[in-house]
Amino acid sequence: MPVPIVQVTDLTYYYPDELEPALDGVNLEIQPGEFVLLVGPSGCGKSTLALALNGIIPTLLGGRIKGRVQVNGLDTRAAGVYALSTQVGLVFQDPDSQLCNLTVEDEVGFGPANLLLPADEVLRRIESALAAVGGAALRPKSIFELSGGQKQRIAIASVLAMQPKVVIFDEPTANLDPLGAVQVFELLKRLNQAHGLTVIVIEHNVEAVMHHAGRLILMEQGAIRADAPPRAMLRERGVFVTDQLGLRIPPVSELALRLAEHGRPLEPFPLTLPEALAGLQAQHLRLISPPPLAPVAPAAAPPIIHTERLNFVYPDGTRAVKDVTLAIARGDVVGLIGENGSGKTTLTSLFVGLHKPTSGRGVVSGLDLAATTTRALVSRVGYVFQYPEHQFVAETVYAEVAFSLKAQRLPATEVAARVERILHLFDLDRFRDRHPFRLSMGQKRRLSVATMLVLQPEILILDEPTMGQDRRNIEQMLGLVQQANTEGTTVILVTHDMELVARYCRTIAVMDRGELVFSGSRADFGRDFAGIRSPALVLPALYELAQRLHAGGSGPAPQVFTVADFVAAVGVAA
Amino acid sequence: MTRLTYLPGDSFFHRMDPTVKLAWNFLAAALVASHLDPLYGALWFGYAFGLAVCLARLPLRRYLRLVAVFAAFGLSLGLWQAVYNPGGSPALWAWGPVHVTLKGLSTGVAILFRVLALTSLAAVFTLTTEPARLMESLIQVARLPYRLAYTVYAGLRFMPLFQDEAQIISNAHQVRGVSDADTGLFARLRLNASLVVPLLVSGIRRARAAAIAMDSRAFGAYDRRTVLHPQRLRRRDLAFLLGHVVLAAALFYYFVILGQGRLFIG
Repeated sequence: MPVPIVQVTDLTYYYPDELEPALDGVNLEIQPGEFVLLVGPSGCGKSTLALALNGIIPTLLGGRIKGRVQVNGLDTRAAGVYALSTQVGLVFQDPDSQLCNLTVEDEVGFGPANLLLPADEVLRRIESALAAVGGAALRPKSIFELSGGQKQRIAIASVLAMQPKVVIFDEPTANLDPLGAVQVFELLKRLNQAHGLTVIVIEHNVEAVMHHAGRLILMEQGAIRADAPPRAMLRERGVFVTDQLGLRIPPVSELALRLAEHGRPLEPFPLTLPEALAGLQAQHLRLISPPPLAPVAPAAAPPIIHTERLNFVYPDGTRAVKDVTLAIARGDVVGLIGENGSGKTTLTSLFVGLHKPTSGRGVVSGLDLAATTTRALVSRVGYVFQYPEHQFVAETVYAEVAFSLKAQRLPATEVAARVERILHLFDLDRFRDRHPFRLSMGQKRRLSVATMLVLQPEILILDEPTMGQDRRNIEQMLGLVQQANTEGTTVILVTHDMELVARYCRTIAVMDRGELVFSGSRADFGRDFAGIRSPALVLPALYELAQRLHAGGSGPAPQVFTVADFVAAVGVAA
Repeated sequence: MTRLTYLPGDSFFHRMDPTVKLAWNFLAAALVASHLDPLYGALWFGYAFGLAVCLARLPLRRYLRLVAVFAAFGLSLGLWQAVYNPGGSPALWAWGPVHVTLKGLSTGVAILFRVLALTSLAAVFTLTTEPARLMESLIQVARLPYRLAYTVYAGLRFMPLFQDEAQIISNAHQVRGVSDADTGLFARLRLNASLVVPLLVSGIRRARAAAIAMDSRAFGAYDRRTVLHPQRLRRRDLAFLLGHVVLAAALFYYFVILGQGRLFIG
């Protein structure tokens, strides 16, 4: 047995002033060169474990700790943070918080310079670390000029420059678009294979990383629940992972689980699309049933949002929205997608009057955007921001939900009745007296949606509703949003999450560099996909799988977006 | 929009050591502010303009646009002084309660030039100084402890992020219908507090993440760090400093010590 690079023995940890342990008797051994994927519901202790591995816990953050952590033979508490800095590197989800220099060169050289290495050695390390992340061309740039994906690359390079043995990535792609995420994980795989780096990834959205990992570790309530290669784990305990732990797994794996329930297991158990395709073909599964037609909002319904050559230019001259002509039908569910900075959020903020159009025409729920006010619009349009904390204005959950109703000067009895109803519906009764900031991440999300739906808006806009969330939270929240939709609310989801789009949206709109480059039904999106100009676009996995399975077949292209669609289309479900 | 950010270039001022430049800038600004006189102000403005064009080689249009913004501000300050500062001497022109006197007018002009001179000096400094190099120079030439320098630096880096976030929070609150809520004073204060809380929470989170990111890359391990870009004082920088200090001292002596400027106030 080789010597483990990471050895955690009976680790229990309490944050300062907390009664519940964040880590509860963790035992873990990781061998050099492993690629480990660490998953678990929000608040399960995975990020805490990461901080314990490089000594930040407890050296910097305090708290009570029992047990032992050894990295490359060093005891983390005895060795101290500085000695560990050359053993364990840490990359977070938000590169803006971890980059602390103004230029790329200073950033990558930051750690080695702190170690007082000779200048020529620091320069050599800058060069090789940038080369390793494919960022040599970024060297002369300033941090401000970089895109989100480039910043994440530089954050990784700045950690590699310390030449650590182990690097922990805590949701490294949460702020990236799908293609950016794929590229970052491919980079990690390359570093793992070519440089022998031990990689530990913590992630919610595992679609792009599951197949890279040699080992999948499940955490829940501060403890490790299961530890096995991903393929074996998902085949044997996939339903436990999705239904009990409430975690996301790749859509093709979810499909395989469902087919196995129907007596048609795919072998080997698929983690990627090509594997799933091979498995389906080996099982002689074909798309037989006529493809279900995507329900389309009746064309006769007058659009609730209608724009004509809408433009918006920021005061600094950035043309964030260019000549957008768009119609959204009443009662529709629209997925608004596009790479970071493509103008999605600016467009939706025009719909609630946070900006005034520079030119062009826009009508939202009968109100002309050029002439109306935010005040008039917010009584008809609900807008859920990316970070729920940004929207909280009251000191208790109850007051938070009641706030906007009171602002509209509704009678007290009606306010009380509506607040009670929504608290119950959103399963927030128990927390009615709690401060909104003290809720868990999933509860905060629910509350932010509740504060909008209590107003019974005609339109509900959600900005990146799935970011950093586990499957259970996503499903709970989207279920409530869907219910509002069946009662007539038009929904717009601004997102990078193609699985979310595939599952919930009837219409898809794509933005690229301020322009609307596509708008149409899910079916049109699949058909026109190759022709849509957007650097960040990927197809929903199951749709793509169905197309590949269908390739060469006859008849219309199959309209398959969800696991249920797929199972029905291959005629397995009765 | 014209912004006060570094404009890459290769002029004498671009190459000058940032600490020397900063020192000269502070001294010059202090001298400009020390005496109020139209000719004194005009000479300083002329000097700063000369620096901008000859030594810093700033694009004239960019420079003028920048100064114009502040000129409007200086002009309004100056006008206000000219009209509402009827000091002693007979009015040149009067209309109702408004008296324009020679003294008021000259004070107004002096203020206008003072604002122009100060903004020109600041523009020349910021447009020709790369922030990263300023920091290197402050650590190496001015011997500022690097931990302190990085604290300031982190502030600089986070400032735009905080501004963006404050804007987002304010937008989010608008969407909540905050502007329609109770308009009583108490309610308003409470709402302002609710704007601050999320900003503080995310500020603390960001600072914590930054501290973790820096510590886990050995920040603060030693009293010194490796110097990647050595900053040295050049002889010509010191010569510039010396020459211009002498020039400024002469100007100061003539106007302030000899009191020549008062001639114009009468």
